[in-house]
Formats: sequence, structure tokens, C-alpha cells
Amino acid sequence: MSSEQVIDVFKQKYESLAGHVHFAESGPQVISAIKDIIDNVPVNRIACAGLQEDLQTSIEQKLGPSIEFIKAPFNRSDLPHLIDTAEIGISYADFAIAEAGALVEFSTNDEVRLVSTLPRTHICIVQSDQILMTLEEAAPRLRQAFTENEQGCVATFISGPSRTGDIEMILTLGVHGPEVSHVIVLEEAS
Amino acid sequence: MSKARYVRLEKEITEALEEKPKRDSLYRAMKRGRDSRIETIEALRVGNSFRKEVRDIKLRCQDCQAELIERFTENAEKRGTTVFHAKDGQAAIDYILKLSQENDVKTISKSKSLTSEEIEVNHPLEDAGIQVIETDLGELIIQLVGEKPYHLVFPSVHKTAVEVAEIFKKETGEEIPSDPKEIMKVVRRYLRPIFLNADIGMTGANIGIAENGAIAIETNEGNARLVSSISDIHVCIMGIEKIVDTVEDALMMMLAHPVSATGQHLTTYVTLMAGRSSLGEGAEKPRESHLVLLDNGRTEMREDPVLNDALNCIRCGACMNICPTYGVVGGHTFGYIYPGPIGIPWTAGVHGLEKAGDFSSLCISCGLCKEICPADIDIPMMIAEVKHRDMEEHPQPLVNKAMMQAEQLAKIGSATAPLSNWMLNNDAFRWLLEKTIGIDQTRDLPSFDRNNLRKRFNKRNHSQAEPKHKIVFFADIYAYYNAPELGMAAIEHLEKLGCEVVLPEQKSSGYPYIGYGDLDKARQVAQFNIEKLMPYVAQGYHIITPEPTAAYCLKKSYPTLLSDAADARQVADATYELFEYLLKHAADHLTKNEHFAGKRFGFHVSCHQRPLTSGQAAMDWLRRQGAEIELVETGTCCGMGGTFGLKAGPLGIGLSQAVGEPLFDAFAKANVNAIVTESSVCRIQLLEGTKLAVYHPLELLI
Repeated sequence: MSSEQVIDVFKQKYESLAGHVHFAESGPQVISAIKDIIDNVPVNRIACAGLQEDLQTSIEQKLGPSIEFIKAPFNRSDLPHLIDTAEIGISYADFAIAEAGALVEFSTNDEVRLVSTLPRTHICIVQSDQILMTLEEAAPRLRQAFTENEQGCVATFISGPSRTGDIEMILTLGVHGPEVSHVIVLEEAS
Repeated sequence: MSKARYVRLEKEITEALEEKPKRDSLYRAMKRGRDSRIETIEALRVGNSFRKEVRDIKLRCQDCQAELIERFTENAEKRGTTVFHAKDGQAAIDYILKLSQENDVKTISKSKSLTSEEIEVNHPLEDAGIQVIETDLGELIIQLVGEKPYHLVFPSVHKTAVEVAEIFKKETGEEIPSDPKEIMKVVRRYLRPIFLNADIGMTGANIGIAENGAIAIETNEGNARLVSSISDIHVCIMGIEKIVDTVEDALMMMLAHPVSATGQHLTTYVTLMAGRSSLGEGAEKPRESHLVLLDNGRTEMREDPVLNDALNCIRCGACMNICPTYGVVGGHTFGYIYPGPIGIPWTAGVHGLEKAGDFSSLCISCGLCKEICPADIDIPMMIAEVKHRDMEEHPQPLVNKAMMQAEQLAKIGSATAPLSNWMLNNDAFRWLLEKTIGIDQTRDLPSFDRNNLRKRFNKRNHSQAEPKHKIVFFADIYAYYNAPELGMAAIEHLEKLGCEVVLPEQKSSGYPYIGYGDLDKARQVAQFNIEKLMPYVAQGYHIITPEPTAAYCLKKSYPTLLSDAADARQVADATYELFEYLLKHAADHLTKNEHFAGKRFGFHVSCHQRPLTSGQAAMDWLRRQGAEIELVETGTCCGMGGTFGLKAGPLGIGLSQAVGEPLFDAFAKANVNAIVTESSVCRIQLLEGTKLAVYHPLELLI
């Protein structure tokens, strides 16, 4: 299966799980995709974790001084409360699984997990060449991550926004985690 | 005292029968789960064979469990996790209490964990002044009203939006519309400070991975992500049976859970967590991770030759979604803490036989839970074993004993016909039969034929020169004593194909013994039949039976009952359903039959046929002769459950008919002239429930 087909399967599956998919071919396009997303929501604070420094810097420049950025280095005191005040969280996924519509996030710091869980809107960036077709293909990557990180290490599979059917089996989004999930697929050589 | 047990069950069933809206919502939830599961499995590359992979993994891991526990512990400890091996619930509770007291814990946020419910950890913590808050929405709802989970995956499926809105209004003081979206906003606001301020986050785990000491926690809501990341102390309670060997094993489990439970490919959030990660910089003290590995009877279960299969359970709840009687009464009646079919052996294992026996009689032995189980667990046989062990303390009610004597009764009925038939149709006699034995007086019981199959068979003139095939006919009760003309029709069809047919001495299948739990008798019958059939099988005979349950017994139950003995296995391999055989050998000779013109039939597949031909052979056989026939089904049982539905009262005909309702509706909507089924007992249920004519496929051509 070609990489275009794999990306297409991912897009379809992720959208079927109530997620939104955007494509970008460069850093500036990633920023304009983010801009498009936040244009529709009132934003005062954005929490970012794990972004490359240049991307982080240009996001801040482009989105303007009216927005406060919560980013590394994180001050320990009250960090969860602080991240909770952000309307949007932006983070990276290390890879994705097309057939499941899942993003996989590795972390050795829990702030990464909080950035992708606490805000109502989550924007996740993933490299297009890191989208695997099947769940089985994840095994070597998981093994490697847990071997390289000898202490705390978390791999999280995220398939769209937080959902529940606990009231009358009616699908409802955003009960605890994000209500809105965006993924920006970055189609450039890594 | 068994009387009290039945009084409770009958009272609760009666209540459930009166609450139609609640039953309907439970039924819808279950049906959606079943339907989505099938849809997703069809889309999986591996298809249904994932069940075999799951079973293989579970068996392999249970085999070396002690070693896996050791390796898992070692790897988790290397990462700084404190692992505590709790031999029972009390040890686990003491550990968590001590930890809480040492750290001056005031609040614990908790994400759904059935294992923590198993040991009822919340109460002692609350008694010690600690606030414990469930964060899974369903669990929170039932915590606020002080109930137990109604369903494994959907604990509050029995509560309507109006009720839930009312519950949260009481809790928060806010006016809440009964729209799930609006309720959700309130819940999010209500729980956020709890997540943010809890001193301990407590979770269960769906999987433990020995190779790296990680646990996997699956939630759709994402509450476990918050519970396991915010508080400085994370406590996980996990049963030892959850540990698998490798990352690959874990990925298979991660797939099997949601596919089987809700038909999702993956649960929305799966957190694979090893050790404890830091949070921000400049922490005052290290963040802690405590893993309570719970035994609580599991090691003993592993030593149990029958109940050990329960340890292969991956807690997906699929057996609940297909169980016919669970679908009517729900998990409060059909369960102790562990609900549903698998809840019976699990309860026996961790909460004791007495508690399991309290609800095991709700199982009507349809066998569907085995067919849907992702680990192919023989749940029906374990339930039969629980009933069997329970019989020693609690003798069976008279009606169950009578049902187990079905063959002897049929023999007498046949020998004394037509008097017996007159009595069966006599209101006073039937009233008496209900009052003394407990057989429902309104049930239309099949009449007996004095000229039984044996007599007819011996009288017939037939000689087969150089037979093409050699057949042993295994009749079972109905074709022997009630409808011997059907048995003869089957035999004649076979003879027309050039078969030599013999009818050696035989007993009926004996399935009621399994259904009601007298496994000693069930084994005796199995042994008897195998001994009578085996000499023929050794000479190359095939065994043909017109009764689906008899085929199920010969092919599935006998080998299990007789510990997979070689002769039982050979008999199983030589056994065919009647139409499977007729179709195989006569498919090319079938011609259109004018008889069928202008009629539409609805086919009903009996539960015991599902792991066999699923009725496809009979339908195909009829279609090739011009019949317009379609499968009409709900994916579960018609409710008869063999002889269960013949019994009087709520724990009999009452429950049986409530189970059948959705199927009766489906037949009413299917616009068919008549129903076709191969099962002699489903026939009784469908006849009464749908008011349509019900035929055995052969009857259509007699």
C-alpha cells in the first residue's frame, strides 16, 4: 500500500472518530492551519509541549502577543492548574496508526500528557511518514521506547476526542478530555 | 437455604418484567454492542480468527504466570514502581489505607476498575475519612446513588438522561436540562477540581506487560489519563491474571477488548505506563507509583480444573451483550459484583460458591456466551460446574429434577398415549402438574406418539444393496417419542441417497443434565451414548441427528464432559447435522417443489446451531427446492432455553417470554407466512410467541 493510501485510511478513520484532519507541507503551513483552527474559538492561553524550538517560536510570533503561551520550561508549582486554564493544547505525536485512527504520543514528562488532555481543544502534529498502517507495526517502536527510557515512560494511543456513551448510549464528546481534536499531518521530509 | 434464593430471584425478575422501558434500553445497548462488534470484526484483516490468537496468548501466559508475575514485578521495580503482592482484598485495602495515612491523603480520584470493586476498596477508605470519587461517568452516576454496576462496560445503562440530570442537580445544586450534552458540561465542571486536587489517583489496569513492567489502561473518556498523571501518588490495582508476556501480546489484547465490547478498533485512549514520569521541573518530592497485584483467589482458581478457564477473561463484557436472560434482568440480579455469564465462575472463584449459586440458575444454557467470547472461554460448561457444585448444598427444585428426567417422562408419555395426550390437554391435570411439579399449565406441550420411532423403524421394509454411505441415526426425544414421522422422514431421505441407516440403542442427548448442572448424570449419558455409537464410528459410519441440541452435545459437550477422550473426539468428528449431510450428498439432485410457490418462510436458528451450521444448510436445502426463506434473528436466543421456558413462574415462562419478545417482533415485521426451525423446543416458544405456524424443514415436504 502506498503512503498516500495509508494517509487516506488514517484520515477517513480519524474523521469517523469525530476528529479533524489538516494537511501541511511546511512549518508555515502548520502555523496557518493552527491559525485557521483558533480563529473559530476565543483563545487566551495555549499550552504547548514537545514542539521543536523553531516551530514554537514562530507559532508565538504569528499568533500574536494577545495570546499567552504555557510552555517549557515548566514551573512545577500548580502546573496542572495552569495547563487547565489553556483553551488549546498543542503537542506532537511520535507516530500514528491508520487502520485505528490513532495517534501515539510518547512521553517521559507528564506535562505532555496534560497538554493533550486538559484543554478543550487539542491540536496534534504528526509527520506523514510516521503513519503506520496496522497496530502490529507499533510493536517495535513501543519496545524501543520502553527500552531507551529506563525510568518513567508513557505511550498513549489517542483516537479522537474524549467520548462517552454512559447516558442512554448517546455519544457525547468532551466529558473529561478534549471535546475537539485536530491533527495536522505534516507532509515534509523529516 | 435455597428457598430464599429463589424467592429473591423471582421477586427481582417480576420487577424487571414490569419495567419495560428499562428492559428496552438495556436491550438496545446490548444489541448495539453486538451489532457493532460484528461490523468491526468483518472489517478486521484477521476477521474472527483474532479469537484464537487471544486464547492462545491467554493460555500461554496463564501457563507461565508465576514467572510472568516475577518478571513483571522486577521490571516495574527497576523503574521505581513499588509493587505490592496482595494475597487478598484485605491485604490490598490495608496497603492502600496505610499509604493514604502516611501521606495525609484527603481525596482520591479514581478511574473505573472492576478489580477495585471486587475488593470493595471504597468503603474502608471512606470510613477512614478519605473522599473517594469515581471519575468514569457511569461509575460516578452509580456511586452517587449508591448502586453497583449494571453492566461491565456501561455501568449506568439503566439510568435515563432525566434521572442522571436529577442526580447531578442534587449534587451540584445547578438546574440541568436532561440533554446528555448539557449534563456533560456540568460533569466536566464538577470533576475538574477533583482531578486537579486529588492526593492519590487510583486506577485499575487492563493489561500488565512482563517484558517492560508497564501497565495498559484503556478509557474512552480519558479520565484515567488525568487520574494517572496529575496526583503525585498513583495507585494501580491489577489482578495477576492480566499480565501478558510481550508488547505484541498486549497489542492483541488492546484490540480484542474494544472490538468485543463496543466494536471500536481501539479504545479512545490507551495509556501504556511504565514507572512514574516527572511533572515539570523542581519537584519537591519524587512522584510515586504503587502497583497492587491482587491474587484474591486467582491462584486457587488456576488450580481448579474447570474454573481456571475464567482466568482467560479479558473483561470486555461481550458475554453480557449476548446473554438472553441478563438482557432482561440486568447486572443487579444477574451478578454479585461481577455480572453476567462470566460473572458466575468469577464470583465462584473470588467471592465463593454460595454467592455464585445465588444467580447461576438464571443461566439457561444457550451457550451463546462461549461463541461471542474473544478468548473462546467455555463459560457454559463452567456455569454447569458451578450449578453442579452448588447442588450439594442446595438441592435442585423439583421442577428442575423433572426436566432432567425429560426422556423417561417422554417414554412413559409415548407408552401411555393417547391417554397421556388427553391428560396433557386436560386443564385440571395441567393445573395439578403446575402446582405439584412446576410445569407451566399454559405451555402447549407436544403430544406423544405410541407408535414410536423404534417401532416404525423396525416395521419398515427396506433393504439397501451396497450402500454408498453408512449412517447411525441419533434421534433425540422429539423425533423418537413425539414426532416419529419426522424421524422416519429423515431416515427415508437418507435412504434415498443410498445410505444404510441403523438405529442402535441410544439415550437422548442428556443436555438438560448439563443445563441444570447434574454433571455426573450428564457424563453417564455421554459415556453410554459414546459406547453405543463408537463401534459404528469405528466401522466408518457417520452419525446424523435432526435435533440441533443433540448435534451440539455430540460435537461439543461430550468431548468436554469426557475430558477430550479419544472415542468422544471420534464420535464428535463423525457427527453431522441432518441438513448438512443431506445438502452435501444431495445438493445436485434437488428439484423445485411446487409446494413452496407463493410462500415466504422465516428461518429461526437455534442457539446450539450457531457454532455448527447456523442453519445455513437447512436454508440452502430448502432454497434449492424453491423455498423463499430468510433468516430472522436478533442475534440472541428465542428464550426457550431447552426446557427452561416450560417451567412455571418468573424463573421460567415469565423470563423466557420476555427474552423472546424482540424476536417475536422481528418475525411480525418480517412478513412471512410461517416459521421454519429445526429445534423442537424453540418451536414451542415461537408458536406461542408469534402465532405463526412453525415447521421443521422436513415437515414442509411431508
